[in-house]
Amino acid sequence: MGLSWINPLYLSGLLLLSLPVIIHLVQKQQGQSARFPSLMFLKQIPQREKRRFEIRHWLLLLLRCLLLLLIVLAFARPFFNSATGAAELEPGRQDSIIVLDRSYSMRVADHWQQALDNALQLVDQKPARARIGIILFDDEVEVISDLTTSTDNLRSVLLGQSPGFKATRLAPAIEQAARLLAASNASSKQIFVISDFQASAASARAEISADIELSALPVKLAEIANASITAIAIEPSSRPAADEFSLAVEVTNRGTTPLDQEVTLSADGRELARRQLFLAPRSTVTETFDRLSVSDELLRGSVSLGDDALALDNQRFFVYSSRQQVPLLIVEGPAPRANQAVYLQNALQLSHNPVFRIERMAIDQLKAEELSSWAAIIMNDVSLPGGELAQALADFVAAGGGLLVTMGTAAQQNWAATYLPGRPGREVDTKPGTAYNITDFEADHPLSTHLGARNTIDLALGRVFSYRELQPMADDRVVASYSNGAVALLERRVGEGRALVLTTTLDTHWNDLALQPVFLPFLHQSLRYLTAFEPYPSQSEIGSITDVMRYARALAGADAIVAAANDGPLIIETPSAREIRVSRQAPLLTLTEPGFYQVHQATPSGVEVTLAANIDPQEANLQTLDVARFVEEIRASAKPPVKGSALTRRQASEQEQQQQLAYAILLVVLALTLIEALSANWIGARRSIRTRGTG
Amino acid sequence: MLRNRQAQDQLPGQRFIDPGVLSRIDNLELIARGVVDGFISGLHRSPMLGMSVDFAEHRAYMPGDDVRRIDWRLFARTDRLYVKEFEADTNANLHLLLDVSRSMDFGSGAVTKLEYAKFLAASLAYLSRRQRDRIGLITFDNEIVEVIPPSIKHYNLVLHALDRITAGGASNYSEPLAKIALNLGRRSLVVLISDLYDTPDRLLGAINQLRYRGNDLIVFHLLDPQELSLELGDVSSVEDLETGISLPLAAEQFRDRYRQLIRDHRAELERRFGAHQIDYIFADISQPLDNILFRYLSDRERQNRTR
Repeated sequence: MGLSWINPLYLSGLLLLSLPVIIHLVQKQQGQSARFPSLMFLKQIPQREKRRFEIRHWLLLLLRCLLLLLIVLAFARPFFNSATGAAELEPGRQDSIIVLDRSYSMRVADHWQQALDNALQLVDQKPARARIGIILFDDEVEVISDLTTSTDNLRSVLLGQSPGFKATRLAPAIEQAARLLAASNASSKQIFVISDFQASAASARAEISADIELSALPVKLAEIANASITAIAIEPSSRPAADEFSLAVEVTNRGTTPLDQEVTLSADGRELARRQLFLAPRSTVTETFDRLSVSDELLRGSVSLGDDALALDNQRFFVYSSRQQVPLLIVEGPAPRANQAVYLQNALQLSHNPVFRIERMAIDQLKAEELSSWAAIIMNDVSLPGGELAQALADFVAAGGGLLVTMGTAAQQNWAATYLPGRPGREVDTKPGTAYNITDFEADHPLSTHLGARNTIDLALGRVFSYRELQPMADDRVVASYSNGAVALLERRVGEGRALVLTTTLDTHWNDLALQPVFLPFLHQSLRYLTAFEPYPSQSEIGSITDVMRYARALAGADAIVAAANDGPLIIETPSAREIRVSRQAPLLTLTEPGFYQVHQATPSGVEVTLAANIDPQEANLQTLDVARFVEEIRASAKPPVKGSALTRRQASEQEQQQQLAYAILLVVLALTLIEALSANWIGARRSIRTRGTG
Repeated sequence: MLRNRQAQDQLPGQRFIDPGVLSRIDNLELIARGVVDGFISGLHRSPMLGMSVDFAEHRAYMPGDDVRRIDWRLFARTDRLYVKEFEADTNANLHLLLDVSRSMDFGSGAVTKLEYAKFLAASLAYLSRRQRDRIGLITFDNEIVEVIPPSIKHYNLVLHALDRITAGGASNYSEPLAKIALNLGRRSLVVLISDLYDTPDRLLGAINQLRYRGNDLIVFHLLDPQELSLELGDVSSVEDLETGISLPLAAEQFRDRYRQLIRDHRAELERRFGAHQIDYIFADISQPLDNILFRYLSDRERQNRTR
């Protein structure tokens, strides 16, 4: 048993011990000076200079040094290294870790069985005193058995395992095994990696200690023909008001033989389409299914191939929500200009994701109770309503609705409403032959992020001939400005919603923005931003951690926000019909198996949320790496073993926390500080009594 | 001594008149040891023969003598004009010479040497006023700072001056005392109050200039207890109050040597002053003023009687 340190670097703080000594010396040298009537007699006495450099108050000095010493020791976090720690190596003792790959590629042919047999063989053949531990890994690492000599235990643990659905990462598993062995005092330490050694699994190099021997036991790969669906992409239809979408499937043949495969698209248990594909060796084919109609609000679909050696990668699941259509209302004045909303409407209709469902209405037909039917309202150069309708608009924005107001020649009345930013002023016209540009777009604004740097620069290409002055108020945020510094786009957040004001028109009356290519992305992103649009994630990968309420928000908007505040857990049904409960406040779910995850009652209105989980397509690539080279590279970069401490940092930390020596030292420090303060006070008081009146 | 200090009296300098001190010395007198020149009758013997009950001698009448002083009986007997002369008692000039150098502005206790000196000077002034003596005050450091010529009416002026005195420059005895000696005029009672930081030779040389004029000289030597003991506590250096020069110091190392030097200095001054008939009174300012004054005045009175 010896004393070890968690943070030995802190011991360099012992240099601070010189501080009190220096302070005591300097203090003595500087000392106190007393005023004296005359040095007539003192000058007659020869003095000894040496005296000035002597240290006084030895006890105080020692106390202070001790205090510093203890503080430094406490920060270094000492502990008595017990157990296997720094003990001598035990000759003849052998410790091994079996690192067993359980990724879904091990489901191919008899790969898993081979791996299991290899592991069992290692267990059976081990000497009686030898200890073996077992680690299972895919893209995560799990220690299923610590080092033990019990063959029976090891066998039963191994026989209870099966391959999973996740991808492979070799390095973390090997490093975990090395950490387990670092605590061992055996003279021989070995890691046996049993895997199919896919090329995609070795993205990082493992670091192990040089006293550990690494052995690779690859399974014998069967020559298989394997086609896999590596990706699907869903695109909503670009046709206005059509609940249709298209789906593209990417199929890869990684084998060396050509394949004829059927691709089947199914949705909600019905087969929608079937295509025949010819896959050349080591090739990828993309097949597109167009004009797929959506009958339900949420379509649960899958794309599958025919059977082959690895069935898991033959199917991919997806969900598609037709509720991703965003309803918009364009409000016009009673006598709009010709083509006042034409550019605006046409531009919005060209958006695919989301699809904007657009309706136009005159301001006098607008009814307060109907406002909530739209996700966003565009007040296209109209006199703003007052009274009940104004209040309804305010409530609409506060509840999460988006409002875009454009300013033109129509009188801007009733602007004092709290939901609108700024204070409008006069109309400003440029001199004939000149124009302003929207040059300053606030880079930190989310709209700028959505729009992209290129588009924000391109906005400056549009020429603005007239605009209306708008003075920002305290709560407003200037999103964009003209080249003369005047406000072009002003935002105010009201409750859950946002109101944006463009100080010019969205037709060609006051500017030519509508004629610029940037007009489309600018409008699309502005409306996406105003409606807080979140695309419904059509598919996720196994292993990823997913915020369930994000799906609910995409489906149900503000309804989901209300739901998040409710009590009671969310009940989630997994593809294998297991039930998982997660809290609504931290609704995080780790996807572990392929298929559909059903989230019941995600919102008060009972919206059902479905998540599609798929395997990592990279894992389907069975191409292997050069095992001998892989092992050689790890051996070559192995670090020399740390002498004197075979404990892992975690174990050391555990021991230190159990012993809590640092806390005990800090308590002593506290007591000593008290004593030091009292002593210093006492000495100071004595000194002041003795020197009082001398100066 | 200073415990009943009543600082808020009507006169600014009145606070130096401590009833505690005065009650102790009230029945004592500060009598000039020799004869002093005075204008009015007082406690001191006068060199002049004047109106008194103590007959001195007859002398021949000279024109200008007051005819009332002619001894007519002797004229009847001798037919010559003689004037009758008597020994006269007169009042004296009391010159208070106060050292106001910066070294006097030191005190480890309740008062500094300068304050102690002020109390001492005020007490002596009070005593003299009661004796109807003329009181004057001269303050000096390395030169004369303030002069109040002696007068029976200057008591209040002296107290005013004492009140506003502050410590000034470095001390020097020769030059200011020489100037004072030249301007003293008639023989006087001269009281010097100082801490006497100079060599005995130089001190005596300076003070003797006062003595040569026939003045009666009293020297009060004031020192603070710390000046006697060098008990400075934990200090590493000392700074000269007058020159500002700093000297590294390990006080405990040569405290004994210092005390010996101070003792020798005092003994030498006492011996040398005594030899020149100068009264030397040492005062530790931690001691009550009334003790020191009472002891000195009663001793002096006793000596006068036995003389």
